[in-house]
Amino acid sequence: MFPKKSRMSIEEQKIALLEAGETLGYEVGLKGHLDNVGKIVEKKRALLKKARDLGVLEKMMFKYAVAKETGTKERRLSIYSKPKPGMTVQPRRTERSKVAERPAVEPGPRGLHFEDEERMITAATRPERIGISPHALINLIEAIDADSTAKYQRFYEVLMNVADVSDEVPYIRGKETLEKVLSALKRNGWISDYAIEIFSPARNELYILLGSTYAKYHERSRRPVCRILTQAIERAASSAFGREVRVVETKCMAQGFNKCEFSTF
Amino acid sequence: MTEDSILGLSRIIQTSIPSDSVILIAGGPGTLKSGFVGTYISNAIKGTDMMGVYLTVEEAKDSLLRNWKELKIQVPDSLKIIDFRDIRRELQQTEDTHALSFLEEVISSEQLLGGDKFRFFALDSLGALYSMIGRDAVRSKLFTVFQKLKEFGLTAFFIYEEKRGFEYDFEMADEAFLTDGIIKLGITTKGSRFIRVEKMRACKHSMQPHHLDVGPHGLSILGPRLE
Repeated sequence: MFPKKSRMSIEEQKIALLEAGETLGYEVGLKGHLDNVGKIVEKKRALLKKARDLGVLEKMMFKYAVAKETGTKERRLSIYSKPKPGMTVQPRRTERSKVAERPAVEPGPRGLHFEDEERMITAATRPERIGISPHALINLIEAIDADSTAKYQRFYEVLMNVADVSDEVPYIRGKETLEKVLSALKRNGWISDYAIEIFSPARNELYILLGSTYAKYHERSRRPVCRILTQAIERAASSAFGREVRVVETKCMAQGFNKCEFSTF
Repeated sequence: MTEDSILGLSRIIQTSIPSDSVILIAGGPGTLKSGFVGTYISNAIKGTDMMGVYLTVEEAKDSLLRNWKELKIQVPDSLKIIDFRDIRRELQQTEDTHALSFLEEVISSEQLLGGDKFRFFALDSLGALYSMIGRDAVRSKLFTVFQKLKEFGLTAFFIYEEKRGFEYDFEMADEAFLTDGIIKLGITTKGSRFIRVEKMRACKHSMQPHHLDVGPHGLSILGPRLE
């Protein structure tokens, strides 16, 4: 990856090295690689050592950081704005279509959308199911099959994104994205009722109440348990706010509360 | 991390501070925040195989070293001072928004190269970082940065410039909550400097303000200040 130095002057070597660092950083960001394990870390360490020897270590770090940031942004844009290559359109089940066609439920007290009676009856007679997209399933299986030192990290990363609905919802700036993501999560069975109580990008405030299927079936816990939902909401909120935000679950049904509460950190 | 990295520090901190700690050094202008951190890290790594990184996004490296020289700080080779503005100027980058990514990359890369020898990190200052990127953008990521520092077992100092005349800067409430320790530096109305350890997790310490003096051997902490 780094050009041979034999006929290059020191200055040319420095320029080539910085370019190599920039390329690696961009690749790491774009492909979402972890740069602290496996082959990437070896490549990065070799470049850093070389940069240290040539006295351009700090410049290399800067170039790498900026390129990684650029790559990450482009990856997010590509994830959020268009379907993944090779993906076919997910067939819609008739039942789901019916749910989508239903008129919106009028907000109740504090703006809560409670389940309509028909759905409650269905839930009582049939066990609830959580659906994941084919894309998330493929990622999950590939992560299990992965044979590398990054296996645990990769698996954790994929598992945390298993509720991902990016193939159903365009992730763009605005409250609409968050509403669509929550609606998709509801359609997929991850959540039941939900309400966006506070949405204020200007004050960096977000407050969501929802019923979590996962927490409902989870045993009683001292801590909030809906980490996967937190991840999904955090991604949606970041797109909706137009910048990265950190979301935490402050109250959870597994702790004995009536609803799970999510807010910005 | 040793208590005698600064002469007299053992008067305030009775037991050693865990190495994986993030410490906030807060104080108004002229309270020797940079000098305190510079003295601490320099003395801690001098004569050892440990190394540290001091990242300045506010004061120029030359100016910082001049001030440290006045404070009798002997900067060892293993303390690397990185000037963010200088690098950005050399690379002709005009955007401030990369400062946070750069901060994260410095920590990761130095750990990758130095391994266990990389033990100290300092950022000068949080306020400057906020002014570049915006407070909200940084705050949402600070938690991740702090986690990374702890994961690497580093002792990290984050310098924060408070507004003069305020006993407690409410704007820093979040940072105070996230950090393991808060060391406050100040100047009394009579013009003498003082230090107070307001918080230090897993460590016995005095809450009383003590005099901070610059003597012939550099910074030293004297007896408690009488209220």
